[in-house]
Amino acid sequence: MRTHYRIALVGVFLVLTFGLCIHWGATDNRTWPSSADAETIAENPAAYDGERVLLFGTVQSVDADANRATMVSGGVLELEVRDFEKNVEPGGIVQVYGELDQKSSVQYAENTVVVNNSAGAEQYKLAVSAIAVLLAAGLFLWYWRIDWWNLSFEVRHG
Amino acid sequence: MADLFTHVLAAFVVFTLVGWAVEWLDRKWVAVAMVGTIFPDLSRISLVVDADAVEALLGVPFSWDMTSTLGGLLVISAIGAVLFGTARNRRVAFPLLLGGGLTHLFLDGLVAWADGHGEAALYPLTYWRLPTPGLYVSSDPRVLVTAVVCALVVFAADRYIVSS
Repeated sequence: MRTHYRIALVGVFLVLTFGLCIHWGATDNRTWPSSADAETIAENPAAYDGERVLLFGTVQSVDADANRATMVSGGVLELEVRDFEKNVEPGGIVQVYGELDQKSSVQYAENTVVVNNSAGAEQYKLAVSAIAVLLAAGLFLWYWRIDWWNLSFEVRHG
Repeated sequence: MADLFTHVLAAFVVFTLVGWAVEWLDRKWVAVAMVGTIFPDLSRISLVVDADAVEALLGVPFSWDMTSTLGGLLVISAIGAVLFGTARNRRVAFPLLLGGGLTHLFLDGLVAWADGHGEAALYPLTYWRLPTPGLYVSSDPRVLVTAVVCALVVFAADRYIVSS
């Protein structure tokens, strides 16, 4: 296949990729398990009292004795989470599934998952992910070379 | 999702093992599959180019998270495969890039979610969120340690037993 055909195909697939990103962005509410995300709830918090929702949040404080925590979800919705029984430091990220109450200022946790138990856990993930990219790219370029003239990958060793 | 290092090592393990049974699947093709496993995490582009900024620019809703789905994998793997110079290499690269990405989605499908369902990874076929067994959380270092140990064992076996 000639180089300009391949480049044209890359262009077509890139347009398709962006098209799917737009479609996903327009319809991603269909993938969410509850009727609204944090931003939507924050627009009219009283309307969601009694609804069970899944929220991601950054933990602000934890009262282990009272099994309560405060978190901010989506940067716009501050909640007190009750029945919170996880060991998380402020700055950690959690998922909470449960019913909203008191104008969506309280969530009763039916289940909680700790995504990052501290702010440092996210840095850990980003650091090891960067190493992974270097490892994969390095290994790939060990076996394959870039033919800049034809803009293609060719076998480097035999 | 697991950390990306775990995904890359998992792809190395899976495709090296497959390579023991499939003669043409040598180390250069295992490396291709390892690159494919990065594709679902291209959503991390959002750390550099925020989706809200793209939305403002285009005037339509936009989300990078699509790259973590089957549909995203298909088109991105196609882009990757087209970049190979020969027809034979393109035909081999596409399923390996896709396969690497699918190992990523499979491992992500085992991650714990508070409501028991993972992401809608089969988009655009369906928006159904697959049930997850909730085996681990992404920041758990034990997941990476397990992947490193498995990769070292397979690497040693491949280098010193299978190749000799």
